[in-house]
Amino acid sequence: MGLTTEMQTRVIDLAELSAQGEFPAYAAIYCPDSGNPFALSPTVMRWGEGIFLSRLDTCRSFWLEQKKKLRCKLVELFDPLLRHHYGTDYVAVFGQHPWQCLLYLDYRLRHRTQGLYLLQGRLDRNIYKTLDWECWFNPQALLARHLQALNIRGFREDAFRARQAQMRRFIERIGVANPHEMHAADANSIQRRFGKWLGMIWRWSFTDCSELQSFPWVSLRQEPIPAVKRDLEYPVNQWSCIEVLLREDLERLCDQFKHDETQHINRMCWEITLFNQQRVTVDLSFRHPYSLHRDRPGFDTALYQARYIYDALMQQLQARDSDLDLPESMPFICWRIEVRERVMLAPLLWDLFAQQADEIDYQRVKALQNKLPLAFECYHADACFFPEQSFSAVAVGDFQQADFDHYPWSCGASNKPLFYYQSAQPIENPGRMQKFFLERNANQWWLGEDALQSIRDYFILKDRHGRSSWVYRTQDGAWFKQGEFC
Amino acid sequence: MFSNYNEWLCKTNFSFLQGASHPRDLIERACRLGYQSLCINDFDGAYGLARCYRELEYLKQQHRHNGLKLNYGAEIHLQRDHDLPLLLQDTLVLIAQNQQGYTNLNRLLSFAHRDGKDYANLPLEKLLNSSVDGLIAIQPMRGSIRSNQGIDRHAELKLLFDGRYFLAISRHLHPAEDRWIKTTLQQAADHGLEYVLSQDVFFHNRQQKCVSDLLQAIRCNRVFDQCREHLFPNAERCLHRADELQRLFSVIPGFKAALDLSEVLNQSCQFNLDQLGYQYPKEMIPAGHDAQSYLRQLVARGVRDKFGRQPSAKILGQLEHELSLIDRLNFADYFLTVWDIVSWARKQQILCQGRGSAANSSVCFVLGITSVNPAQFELLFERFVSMERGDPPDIDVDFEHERREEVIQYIYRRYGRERAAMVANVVTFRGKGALRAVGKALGADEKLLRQMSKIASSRYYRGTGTENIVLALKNDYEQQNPRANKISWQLWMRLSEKLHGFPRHLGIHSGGFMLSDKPLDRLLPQEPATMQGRSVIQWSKEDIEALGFFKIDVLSLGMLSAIRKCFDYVQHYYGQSLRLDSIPDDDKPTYAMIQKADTIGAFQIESRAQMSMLPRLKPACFYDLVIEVAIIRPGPIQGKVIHPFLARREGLEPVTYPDERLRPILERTLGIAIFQEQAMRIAIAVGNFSAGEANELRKKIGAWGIKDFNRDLNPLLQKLKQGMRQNDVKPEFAEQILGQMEGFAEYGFPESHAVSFSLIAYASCYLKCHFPAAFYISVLNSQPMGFYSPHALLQAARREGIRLLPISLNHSIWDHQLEQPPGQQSYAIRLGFRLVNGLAESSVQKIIIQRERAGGWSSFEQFTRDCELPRDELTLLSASDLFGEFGDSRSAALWQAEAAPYKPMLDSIEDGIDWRQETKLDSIRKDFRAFKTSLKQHPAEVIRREQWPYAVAVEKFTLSSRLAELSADTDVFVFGMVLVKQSPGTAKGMVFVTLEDEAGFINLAFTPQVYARFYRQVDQQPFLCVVGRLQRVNESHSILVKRVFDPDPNANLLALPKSRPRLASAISTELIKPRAFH
Repeated sequence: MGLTTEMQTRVIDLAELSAQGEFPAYAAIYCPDSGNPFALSPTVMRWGEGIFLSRLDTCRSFWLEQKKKLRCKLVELFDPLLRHHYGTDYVAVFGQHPWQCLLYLDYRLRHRTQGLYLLQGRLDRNIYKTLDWECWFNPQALLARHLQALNIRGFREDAFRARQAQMRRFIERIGVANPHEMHAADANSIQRRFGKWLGMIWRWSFTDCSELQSFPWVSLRQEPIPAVKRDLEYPVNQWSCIEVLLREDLERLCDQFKHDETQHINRMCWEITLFNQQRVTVDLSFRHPYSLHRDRPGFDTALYQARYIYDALMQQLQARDSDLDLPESMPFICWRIEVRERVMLAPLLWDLFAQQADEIDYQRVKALQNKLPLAFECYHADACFFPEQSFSAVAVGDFQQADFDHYPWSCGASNKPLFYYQSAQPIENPGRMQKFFLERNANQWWLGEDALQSIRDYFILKDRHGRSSWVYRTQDGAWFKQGEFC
Repeated sequence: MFSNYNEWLCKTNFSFLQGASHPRDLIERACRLGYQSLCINDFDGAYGLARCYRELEYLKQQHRHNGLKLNYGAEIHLQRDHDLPLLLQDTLVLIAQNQQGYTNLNRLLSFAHRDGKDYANLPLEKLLNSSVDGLIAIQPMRGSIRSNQGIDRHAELKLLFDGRYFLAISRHLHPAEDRWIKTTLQQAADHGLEYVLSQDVFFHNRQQKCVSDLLQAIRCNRVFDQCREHLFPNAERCLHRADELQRLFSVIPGFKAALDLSEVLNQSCQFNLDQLGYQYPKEMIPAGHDAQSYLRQLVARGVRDKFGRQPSAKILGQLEHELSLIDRLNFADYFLTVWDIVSWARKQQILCQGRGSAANSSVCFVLGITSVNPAQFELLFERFVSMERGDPPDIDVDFEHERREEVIQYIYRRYGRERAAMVANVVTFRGKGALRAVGKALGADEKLLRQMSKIASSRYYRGTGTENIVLALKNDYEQQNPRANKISWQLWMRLSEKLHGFPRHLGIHSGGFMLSDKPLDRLLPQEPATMQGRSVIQWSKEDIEALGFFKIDVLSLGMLSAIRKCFDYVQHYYGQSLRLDSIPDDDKPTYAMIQKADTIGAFQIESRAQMSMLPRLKPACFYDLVIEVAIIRPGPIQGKVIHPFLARREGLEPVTYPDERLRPILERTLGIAIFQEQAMRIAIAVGNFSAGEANELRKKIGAWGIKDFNRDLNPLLQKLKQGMRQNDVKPEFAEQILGQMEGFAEYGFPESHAVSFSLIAYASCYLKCHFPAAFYISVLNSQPMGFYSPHALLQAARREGIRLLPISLNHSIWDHQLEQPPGQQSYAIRLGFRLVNGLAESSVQKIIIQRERAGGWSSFEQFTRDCELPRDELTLLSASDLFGEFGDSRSAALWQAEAAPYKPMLDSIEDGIDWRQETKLDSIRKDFRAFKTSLKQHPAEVIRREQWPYAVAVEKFTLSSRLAELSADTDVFVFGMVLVKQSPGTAKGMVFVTLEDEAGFINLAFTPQVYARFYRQVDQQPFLCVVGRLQRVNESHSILVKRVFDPDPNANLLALPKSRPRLASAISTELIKPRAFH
């Protein structure tokens, strides 16, 4: 059963906060689908798959101001916001310490309840006291991974795991049902017995909300949207001038990226500000896998689109403003080109026409690629006995020489036809027609029920016109055509 | 042309996880197809050779061998490349032409295993410097040919083998494989090599291709889709018909010359396994003697020791008869070897006793190998050794289980590693293991496999066959995952059945030793065993028996350790010196105890079935005990002889004989056949069996392991049935005997074996009767052994009035010991530290040394100051509540113990934690976790009195001690802790559960229908609450369960909290630990 159907929605009224005069310092948020992590705060840490921590105390004033301005309760402020960004399946825990938020979030996820929870609230605080040991230990796996990744001095994951095991053993022996039963133990006592890190976690969990030392916080960097802006020194409406400047800006935009073949800019937004402060936004796009970088140095494709848009725009403006005493056409005073779509892509075309990338005939590629509905492909040997499955399509750039020693059966490929049928066509028994035996195959019998049924004998069948087909016969004597030779 | 085909490359499934057919299937198919010869060459060993030899011998007996000749060889890896796909592994096939070649092959194979069992390999340099006289070599069209390595070494190998080096050409109808034909032909031409044609067989017919792929997937530990480079592209590596061979090979250039070469090579291979000459070691024979004369001398000395200076003429006559037979069969060496080992053990004060058919031999008795005087029980020597059979005798000797390794190492020292090795045990895929392996290959996830294991382990499904298990799994899976991916259940089921019985790897026999006067390499290869300090031959017990090699079984028996310890304790605490032979015969109090079934801890007669039989059989003499030991076995049970025997014994039924000819055979057992020997003698007397055939029947029945009933037993049983009909034996009796034979095939005792065991059973009962406290501590100090867990033994001791004292830091030692509490006459048992789970004996020794220095302790701090134990050990002691002795609670002690390495820091005041007080049940649970039992109240009592979680009123329940007061056929409610669960194969689906409450045992019986309804509760709950019909025969009771009650799920008393699931099973697994005797 999916999370959505089982979850019960519950939203705590954050008015409780005001009563207590406490504003939550952190929030742990789970959203099954990706959403903007910076919805609540610019200080965010990605904790795990679908889970991130937001630091709220840095923008406390902002949220309180918003509340005041909108004249709403905090809950009315946060809940719609969270719903908007993360959908209805989100789970968010607000509290004073990120670790406590994470512990409680784990509990809520395990109980499949969704919504917004506040650890300062009486109910959740009481539930927090009943968290069992699994709830306490579970989030430590991710914590250990973060500590290890940060290479924190004195932390070794294997030693930490050993300490965890020791503590688990102790708990089992002693029969303490949940961590709260041991709340009287201070962090130092835990540290003496089970090591520094479990002591620290104990401190985070129960004793001191202000203790953040050693918490492995790594802020998520907000990646700026790549863009270039041009403020014209004087208004311009001549295409010849615009073209030169635009080419220069596209070059600048390209330079913002290191030459990285894995990133292709496929769509840009050209936001033009006209003389009357009117803003016109137009798209400049490339058909995948062609891209801005491939358009260098002339940027013919991009500029061609820009010119087309420019012409249309000019006509439109002239028609609209013909009765006004305005310059010949509305000149441009500034523009901004912003990248809207980037594609992660393996190199595709380099090896298509030449071995070396330098020798690529870009003009031909350009001409071809923009006309084709699909990217170019080539074929790669696969570990499969069925001839028709012994090759698979890969991008041109990913092609590697087939390793026949590793997949020895693929060497029979030399007898494969040029054209394959999508699925084998049943044919009548060819009788006395000329047949040449090629091979016997037994493959993937485990997908059916009978191993023998998977055995096939392949032949080249020649008809009286001299045309050759690639056919096979199954064990029960049925014949199928699989492909045609030229 | 292909009608007399010689196949040179053939793997059986003893090429572990590589060959995909049983030797039997390969040999039978080769015979059927009319092959002239088949050469078996398993990878890196001679593992399958003896099996193939046996199969061909069998077919010869059946006149179905069609003139097939076996050639013997092995395919040796020249590199450590075993993990590569089969076709790429660099190997060479060596085939023995004669005895010398076979010896050389064994030497090379033993060398290849120099670094262990796995990754055997023979570097080319080593091969080039080895003697290869009598060997021919064939390079398969795999490995080096494909990697072109062969080109470099063809010349060297040609020179080494002096022209007996050949290439093999195979054709498998696939371009991937057949493209190497051209290369091979070219290499043959370049180097002037000849070639033979071969199908390079890995399975006997095309249907086995799936098994071949399955084995590869198991070998690679991957699913099918992920190991395709290890699979053959088609099913052509099998044995083909002559017309198929013609079509396959007639396109190969020079195929006629290749066939002629095969013919010549076949003529040159003149070696057969029956040519192996085997001799027993002779070093124990002093100068001036031969084996026979020395044996005579030892026997004469033994007679004086056993019977004094005037032995009876009967004894002397019997000894003379045996000695002359031994002489004629040339078996004296064997008796001397066993005598030598037993004598050495006796000198080392290691208790030992021969068992099995050796107890038929007076020579063994006077040599001290066995303790049974055959004359006393009219046991036949011919059952052990006979002129007609000429089979080597098989002497099994039990040694104390804790000291058997000393005996094993003595044998290695005495005869040297090159002449002594342990016998192999072939570990095969069975039930759950086969299902798991197939499931993994098909891509089942770990969760599903665990679920399958759970179902297969359940008594409800155990032994019901693969089909039922898979169907149950399918139902569960599809209920829980309605939208899950489709799983090929049929395939899972079918492949598991095919895999059943396939060799998985080579293990080691429990105690079988093979000794030889010449190095074992002359006979077969050997390799290091996984267990440190042991080496093992590559053949199993059945293989070496078939070839007439001798072996001695150096077995271990826990009860011998217990008895030896008990003798020591009796000497120490009671000042009495006892030996096995000084225990008085026919001790009345002992028999009285046995009749009351107070036999917990005793040897053999302690199981529930035996205990329920004792009050009915009322053994009053030693032979009664022999019958008691033998009668609760599948043989007599399936023969349905138990009730008639009891009725005759109680005088309720007259003693009659189905045929007067059977009177001498059945007289001692009141006209009922109980022992294996009686069934054999009946077969001779009224079944038209010759002695040889009867012996064949005995061997077939006695062989353990997987039996092919239809092939091995059924023909003999049909013959017996026919013979009895011809002799006018009553059909009912014939049916009974046949049923019994089938039962014996499961497990049955020969009389001599029962006599040997009864001696130990009687000795254990005598000790239990007269020195119960000493007996219990000797059994407890010999754990693991026996049928009951330490908890059950201690509870039994307590019920017998023996006081139990807890483990004490100030008093206990490693072992349990006896202690006389102040002011008391009788001894109490002071529990030893050995009960504490995980505690090392060395730590206990440290504690004891420190205790002697300090004179004892009175506080935790004192103890930790004196004994600087590792924290783990200290926490184990704390978890066992041992610091309760000093007034510390278990929780407080554990909290302190966890800080033990930070002792200096503890000097500073640490805020104490107010630990929750343990409930009674909690405390008992923790005791069980820590030291396997609890001396507090019985948990069943605590639950009943304080935390009753069932909907049935607790007042309705009856204690075990009160069951005797109730009349039979009344309904009773009982509650107790599950102690033992049994579902013997002979019980037709009945399941027997023994519960324990504070007063004793409660015997439950579940019919298959009731068990089917409640099997989850029975299998999973550590306590059972049931209602059922009380059944009683004499003093024994049983409750035929009607319903099992579920505890209130919210009460959470019996199962531990869900957050700690491992604990939930702790009690049940700890308590349910019967150790079946084998």
